[in-house]
Amino acid sequence: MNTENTKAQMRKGILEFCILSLIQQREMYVSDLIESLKKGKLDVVEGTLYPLLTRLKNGEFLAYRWEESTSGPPRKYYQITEKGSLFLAELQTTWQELTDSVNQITKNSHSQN
Amino acid sequence: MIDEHAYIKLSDYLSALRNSLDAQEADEVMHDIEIRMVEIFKETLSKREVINDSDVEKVIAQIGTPEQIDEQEEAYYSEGKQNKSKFSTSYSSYSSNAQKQLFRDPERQKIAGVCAGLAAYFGMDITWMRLIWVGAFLFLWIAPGSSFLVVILYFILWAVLPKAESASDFLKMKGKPLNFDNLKEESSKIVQFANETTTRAGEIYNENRPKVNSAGDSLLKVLKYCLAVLLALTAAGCFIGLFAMMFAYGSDKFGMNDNLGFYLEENNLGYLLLGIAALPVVIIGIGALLLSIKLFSPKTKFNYVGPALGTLGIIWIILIGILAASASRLNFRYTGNNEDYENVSITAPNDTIYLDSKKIQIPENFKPYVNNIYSDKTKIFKRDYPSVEITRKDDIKTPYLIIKKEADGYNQPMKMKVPVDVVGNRIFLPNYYEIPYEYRFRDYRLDYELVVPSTMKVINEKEYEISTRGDDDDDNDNDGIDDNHRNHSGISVEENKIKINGTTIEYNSDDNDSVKINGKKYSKDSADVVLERMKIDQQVKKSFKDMNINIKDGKKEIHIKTN
Repeated sequence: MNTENTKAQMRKGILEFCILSLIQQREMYVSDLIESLKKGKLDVVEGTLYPLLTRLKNGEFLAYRWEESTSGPPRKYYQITEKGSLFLAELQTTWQELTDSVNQITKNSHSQN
Repeated sequence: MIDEHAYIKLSDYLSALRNSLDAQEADEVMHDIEIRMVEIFKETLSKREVINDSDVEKVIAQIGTPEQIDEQEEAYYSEGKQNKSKFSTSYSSYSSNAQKQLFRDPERQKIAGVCAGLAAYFGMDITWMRLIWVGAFLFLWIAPGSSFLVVILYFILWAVLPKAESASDFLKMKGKPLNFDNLKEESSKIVQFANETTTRAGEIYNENRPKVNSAGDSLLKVLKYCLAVLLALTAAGCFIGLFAMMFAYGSDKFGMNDNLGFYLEENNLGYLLLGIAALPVVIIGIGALLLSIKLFSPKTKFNYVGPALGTLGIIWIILIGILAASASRLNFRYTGNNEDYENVSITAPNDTIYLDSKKIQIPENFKPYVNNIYSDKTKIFKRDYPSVEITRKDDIKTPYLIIKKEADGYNQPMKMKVPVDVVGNRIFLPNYYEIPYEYRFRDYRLDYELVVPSTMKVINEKEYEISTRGDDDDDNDNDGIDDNHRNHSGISVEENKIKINGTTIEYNSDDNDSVKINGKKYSKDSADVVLERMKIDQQVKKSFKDMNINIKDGKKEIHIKTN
């Protein structure tokens, strides 16, 4: 049994979920995202976010606009699309159901012990 | 501004990063990352001018090394990258050919790095690889010119294989995994080659990561290698064929008739013809070669292949076009034909006329062509085997010679010079006539008719050179042949002897250079012309629609054909 693999399997999909949730609250730039993720103890490097954001954008879950920056090149600010909101809602439901059932099961197993 | 070491580090980082990305997204993501990097640099530099190593390291830490990003993607992404195998990079520490890529190695190059690249690819010592090439070159020396093929092959590989330039290229060449540590190590070795690193478009990182071969693949693999070997043999065959073609062309064995031969040589169209024949072979050969390399090593990328093969194809079509255009132009240039008769009277006091031949001196600056044609691009000398028809008339006293000139092109002036000399009662017929260069495709024909009083005797002094027709009192055999003609009315074949409607062709195996026609000797070259003038063809045509006779004697053979 590969424990690393199991852990990785459990984490899958979480990053998309988090990013979509963060961006739904407000328009965000990559460094804002990183900061928020770090606050939430989800430590990822910026390089991980770019392909993911691009993929979400290509899937029309996100849109972006350029904003001039006072220091340096323009920044890409991401916002959620209607399709993204729907997807996020689905994810939230799924997450809720998942955590509920997992909590219940693990609690039961704890209490049984 | 950026210092050199930091630059190399940064560009290697960028290319490694690009390599780790999906090809479809790479451009966009790299653009985002580069913009972000500029921003980070701006923040950290503030007043400083030069970006140094630590700045670059800071950026790398913030954005993450390809390995980090990879790990996190593995960990968090719900959908994996396409075709991405889920194994950590440490897995790829041992390499096979499938992960290697053929490059030219500029670091160890003697000529163009082809040997060095091949050596790296096959994992053998560079010296051995060079020895193989040199050995092949020397060994093939036995068959003249085949060494040329080795050189051609080298040049093709030179043109087609990309030069390893960036650190990632060198890693691919050696089959090492493309991770950041290896890149760093490699890039410190190749500072001088690092300039173009960032410009090289990244390949999908996972191409260089090993895939697990399922058992079902092995049969496919065997088939693949069989096909690759077959293609390699095809390529070799093509190049050998090409060589044979050039050899055949060089040795002048391209059989062609008068006009075509002259025409081809004259316009360098011979090379055109050779090109038309050779180009498809070249295209197929290169195609097969590259395909087989590609099959042996799927990761190998080639430079300029599409454009090069495409260009060759287009050149081929153009060559055909040129040939067709020039041939049709030639064909429709002249219509009808023009005749010109010139009479030369012979005021000989004697009752005998001698036929003699005159040897034309062709100036040295005239270039010889096939079929005894000489030209200096303004005039052409063409070989003639004079044939004289002897006509006897009772009502004339002075004999005369009619020079019958004929050429294609009804509306074109004749402009044919036949320098016949008459000295006393001796007629000198030239062995070359002269025509202008611009009329070289008019297909000039020349014939003589000698009209003499019936009592006059005509003696052919140069039977070898000059043939006579229509005069039957100078040959005793004629009666016999006429009998033969009547009796058999056709063709009889004996050993070394053919009789065709009254004409006997004899061949003596002791004398390879001549044949006897009606008992007279002619050189082998002139025999065709003589027979033609005798209208044998026409006679034969009446009785036989198709005839083809060969007399063979060892290597020599005589060939008579009508149809």
